[in-house]
Amino acid sequence: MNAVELIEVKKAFSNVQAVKNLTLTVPEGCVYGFIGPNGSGKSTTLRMIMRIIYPDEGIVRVLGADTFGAANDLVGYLPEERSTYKKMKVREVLCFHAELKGLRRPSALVDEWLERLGLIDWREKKVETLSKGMAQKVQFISSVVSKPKLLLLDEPFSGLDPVNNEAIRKAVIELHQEGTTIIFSTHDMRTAEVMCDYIFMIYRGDKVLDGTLESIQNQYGTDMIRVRVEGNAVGVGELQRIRGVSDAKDLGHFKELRVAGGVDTQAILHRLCELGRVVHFEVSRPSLHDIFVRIANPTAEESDETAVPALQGE
Amino acid sequence: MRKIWVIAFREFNATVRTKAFLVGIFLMPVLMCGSVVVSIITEKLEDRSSQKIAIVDRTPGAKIAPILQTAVEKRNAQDTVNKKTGERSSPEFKLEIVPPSGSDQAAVESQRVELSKRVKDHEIIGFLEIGPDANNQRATLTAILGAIGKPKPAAPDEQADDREDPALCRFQTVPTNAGAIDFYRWSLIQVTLITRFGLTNVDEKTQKAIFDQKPPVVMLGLTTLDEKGNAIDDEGNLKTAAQLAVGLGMMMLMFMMVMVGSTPLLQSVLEEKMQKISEVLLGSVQPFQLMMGKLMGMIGVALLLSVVYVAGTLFAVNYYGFGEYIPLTLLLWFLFYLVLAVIMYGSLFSAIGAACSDMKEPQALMLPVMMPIILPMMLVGLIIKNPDGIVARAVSLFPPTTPMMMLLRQAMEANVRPWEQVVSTIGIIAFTVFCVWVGGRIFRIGILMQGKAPSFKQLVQWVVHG
Repeated sequence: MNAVELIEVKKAFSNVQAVKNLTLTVPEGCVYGFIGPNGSGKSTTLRMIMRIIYPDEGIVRVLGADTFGAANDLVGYLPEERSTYKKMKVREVLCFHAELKGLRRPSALVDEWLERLGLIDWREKKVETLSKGMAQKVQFISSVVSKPKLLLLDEPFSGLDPVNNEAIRKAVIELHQEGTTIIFSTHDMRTAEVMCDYIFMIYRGDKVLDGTLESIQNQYGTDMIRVRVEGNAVGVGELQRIRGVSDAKDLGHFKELRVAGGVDTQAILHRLCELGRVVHFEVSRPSLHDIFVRIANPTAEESDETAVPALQGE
Repeated sequence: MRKIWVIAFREFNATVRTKAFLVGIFLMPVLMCGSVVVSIITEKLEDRSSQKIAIVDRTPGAKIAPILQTAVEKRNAQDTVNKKTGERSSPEFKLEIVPPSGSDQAAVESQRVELSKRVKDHEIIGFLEIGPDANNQRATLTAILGAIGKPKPAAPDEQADDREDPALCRFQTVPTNAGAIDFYRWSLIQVTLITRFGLTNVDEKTQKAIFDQKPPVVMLGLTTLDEKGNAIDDEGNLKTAAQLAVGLGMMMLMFMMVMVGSTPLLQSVLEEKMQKISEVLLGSVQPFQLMMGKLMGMIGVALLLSVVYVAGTLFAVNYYGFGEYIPLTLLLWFLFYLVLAVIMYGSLFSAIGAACSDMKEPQALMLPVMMPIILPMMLVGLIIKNPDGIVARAVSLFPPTTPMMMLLRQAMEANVRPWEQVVSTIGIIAFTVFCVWVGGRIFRIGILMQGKAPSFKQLVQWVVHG
């Protein structure tokens, strides 16, 4: 069964089309990453799944049902803006949220989670006395304490130090192992690469990527070459003039070349050897980061039509 | 439904468990009863040491001053001491008889200036000047009595009008001196007894008999028969005043509850929207549940406050024996109207809170909602004058003003016809449901809307189109 199905969903705010004709399927038990630049429609999509807002058109089916209200006790939600009742004590506020999810006498569960994220000593403190990272962990607990079947996290890792980041990551992975379907949005491509079974990218309201990391990378083929010429003798300008190279970037010790589809990389190596002594030559697939930048960087988009694959406007 | 209770409970706790609320709940009655408490305390702290008063007796032979002197001595010995405790209950008076100056205007005035200076210097608390003709008032009285039915005597020459009445006695003091007021009251009785009735050395009983005579005409309510068939007079004035006080008190309490509850409700909805707390909540509850939860919390707070105040009032009222003026049915009506008023105005206020995104924005939208809350306050005078008039009946049937106005009319035992009662009750229930519906629709859209506050027209569109 699918945890979430969106079928031809549209949503506009005044005259801005936030989500255009989106169809998306999230299988049960997976980790789905939502990526995309700021303001591209990630949060809107999450809110529609959460049924905080309703689509103008289309069907939003969550855990098999398409007509319940926002109050779905089986769905946990961590919104992008972190805020909660500042005057309440940590434990009180968590029990309140748990009870709103239909739990009765949730204090034992709350304590368990506080223990798990190292906040047990703070349970009787007011939320306003917590540091930002701690408050974020409290809010994370409030979204997971009811053991949801589906968990929506809107940028759960932003603004966290590495230690807290790791703690929440571990908790998310554990929930996934226990069978929770997880959808999260992120700007950190590394996190998306390592954590997600599927990645979905939305750009200006359109779905531009959807699938496993491998399938996405396959769409782009092996069009990256990383080279190092001894003594850094060759400049970016020279590299760009090589036939078949569409773009070249200076990464410091390495240069990164992007080649057009169907170009023989051996010919490029040949040409490089003529320019200097090649000490490193690696043909690779673009990382998620590269793909993201290619799609979301308008200049790249204009200079290279192939950057946005055929999915657009589907 | 459970979720509504969870929200209501949190809302109630968040309000009730603040220091401001606890201080407020005790402070409000203190402020209301403050003047009474202060006067009791100051009475206890009042200066009971002896007070000196100067007497200038201008009557021929200065015959009144010695009589007053004797009366003062008698008073000091008997009346100023509490017989049970032996403590002094009011200050002793000490009279200083000052020989009068010459009788010409200038001399009289210069003596007054001189004595006034002594008052300012705290040597004496005041001075009593007994007019030269004071002792001739019995004659005057007889003359007045004799003049009834006879043509009025011609006005004396104009100059006489400007002159001081020679029969007049004047007590001059600084009006803030409490002991001086006591002396004034005492001297008023004494001088009257002496000059008008020619009585000296009057015992307390006789004094009472003279001054405490019942007025020859009293005003009463209507006569009705009780269960046993005995004719009973309504207490008239007293009852009307008590009913009015009860009605006004309940109306004020309701006004206070609506104001005390609605404004924070608006603020809390708006704050939660601004801080995006509502978004988290909407992940768990529907907008309507959120609004109803908040309303229930507010009803809880209003009921708690009312119960505290009403119970306090009932206790005080019963203690003083006025319990009968707050009938149980009226209290039940009060609770009924209070709950409906809180829901009615609370749902509109929370909708306004949800529609705005900035603390300054609600002002304009609040005005039309505030009007029916304030209107009864402005009409109170009119309703009291004529509780069965056309205005009173109209506003008590107009649902937004029904709670306060109908309650006032009921408290005053106005002639509320049965059909009026039925229509107003149905009306206010229907209107409350309507307000919740309207509020819910605005709330649902507004709570997720960011940016500029909607205009009134837009709000109407939200309500109509959803």
